[in-house]
Amino acid sequence: MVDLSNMTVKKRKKPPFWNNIKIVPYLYILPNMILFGVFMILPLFLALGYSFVKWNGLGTPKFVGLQNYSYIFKNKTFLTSLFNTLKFSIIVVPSIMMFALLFAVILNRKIMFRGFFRVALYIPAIISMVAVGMTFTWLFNSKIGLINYILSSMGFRAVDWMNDPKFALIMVVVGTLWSRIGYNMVLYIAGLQGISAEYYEAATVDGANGMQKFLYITMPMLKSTHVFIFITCVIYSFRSFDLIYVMTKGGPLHSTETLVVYIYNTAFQQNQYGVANAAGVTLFALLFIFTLLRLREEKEGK
Amino acid sequence: MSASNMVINKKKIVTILVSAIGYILMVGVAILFLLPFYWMFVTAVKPANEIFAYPPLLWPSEFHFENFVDSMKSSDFGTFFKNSTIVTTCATVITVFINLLAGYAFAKYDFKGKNVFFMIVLSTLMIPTQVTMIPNFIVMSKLNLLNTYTGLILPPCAEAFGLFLSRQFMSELPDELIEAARIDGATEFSIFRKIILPNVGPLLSVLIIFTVMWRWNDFQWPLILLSKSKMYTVQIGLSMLNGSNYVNWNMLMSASIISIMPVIVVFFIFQKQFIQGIASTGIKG
Repeated sequence: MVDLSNMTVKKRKKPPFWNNIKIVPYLYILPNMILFGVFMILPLFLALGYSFVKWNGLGTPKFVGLQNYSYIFKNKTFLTSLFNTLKFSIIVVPSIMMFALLFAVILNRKIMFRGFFRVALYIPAIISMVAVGMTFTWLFNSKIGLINYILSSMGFRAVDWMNDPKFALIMVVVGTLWSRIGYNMVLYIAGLQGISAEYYEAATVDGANGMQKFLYITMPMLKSTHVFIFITCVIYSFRSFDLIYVMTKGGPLHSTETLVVYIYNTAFQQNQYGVANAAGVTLFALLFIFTLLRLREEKEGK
Repeated sequence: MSASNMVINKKKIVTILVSAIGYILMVGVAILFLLPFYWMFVTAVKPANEIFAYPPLLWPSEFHFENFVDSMKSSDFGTFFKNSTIVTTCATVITVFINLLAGYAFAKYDFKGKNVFFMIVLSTLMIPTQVTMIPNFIVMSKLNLLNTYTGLILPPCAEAFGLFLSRQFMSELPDELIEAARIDGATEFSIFRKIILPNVGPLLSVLIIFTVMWRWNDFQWPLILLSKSKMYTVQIGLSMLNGSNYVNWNMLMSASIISIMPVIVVFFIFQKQFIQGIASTGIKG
């Protein structure tokens, strides 16, 4: 009884707000929430708002309704950039996934110098895209570059990578693959290590060969890894900017100009903020719909 | 007897063959992946006249290591390094601190609206920075924060990766630790400081490594925000070297190598946490 009364006395003493268990969590998430609010959520709505105005950065923005949207969908450069983005994704995403999975399967076995191979493939993923861009610009130099030298010594003709609209995208793709395969390989290795060895042992008892094990155990068990890597790779390819900007700035003749490069050029080279924001909102909508559809498909599959 | 032996032998041979093919393939792939690094290095230390030799010299006649020093002297790379170091350091301190706090709150407290707040954080993953960069630029210019450290540091701090990682890691800490300290009368913040922080070593290193790497390599936001060369970060300075018609490849490659060194060094020190970090979260690209 005495204890009880003591407890009520203790309870009555209200702790200061910085030590109140009901308030403390809000204080702890506050800095993050402010940053998200100010630099993520608010700008998203601002982008939507700016996409309805005509504005060159000076003077007062003029409301034009949906004019910016109807402009971009008739604009040849925008449509080219949309097409280039899709093309880039369709080439890059399956290539990354295929090579990353292949190398992961090999490097998940106990082969000699496994650690060295993993590091060699992963290291390109940590260095800046600017350095990657510089290095590949030099490798692809049309007159004295190493790649043209190798091509011509193998009997192919040298290619003017920088100035030929047919080939410039290949250059960017090669640089992207070099810097992204190792990263996704590590994700696949993590996925492979999550598969219990028992499945393989049981399959061996049943007389399955390596190919069958891969097709009927490894691939289905990696499903969530596939989905994750697929979504992040598509998003990554839609958002690629640094490498393309450093290597080609979207040229020659817009042949490597992706949506993101178009947004950058329209906003910061031509000061057409309204148009650029309309393109930005379009990019957001595309990625949003893609992610939702893919996730829903996933849910229905389960 | 002999028939089954033959089957086993055949299987063994197939296994060895598969391993050998995989091994040879990996050697080739590793060479391909390391070739750009080799070419960077060779170009950086070649005598200037051998850069333009055709066919390209795979091995330089002499090594000019002073090219590294020259490339640092010939442009403002000292300033760029100082700027990048300031931005990376401040951003890392801020990111680590606020994410540990918020991650702890989401992992170990119950509060009204917790799920709503967490959904907000989740939803920011769907917002590409290319959509927010223009409004952010406009806001920064209205606040006179173009070409400032504050402008460089703050906006990219709004990033959900560290928060997810912290929440995930901290939710695995036992609740009893916290409860016991609370009964002993420890204040909430001292629980965080004296009980939580000493137990999140691995989380801390992963957060630091990734933030350092990401902020050191950041290109898009500084490119938009900066117009004054004395505020350039390393990446912007490097990208500007490629702008003119005449490109000094000696200098460009030696500067590139120096620019990637901090990240490479951090990588080799923390290699294990690095790999574990992306394997366990995979969020950050």
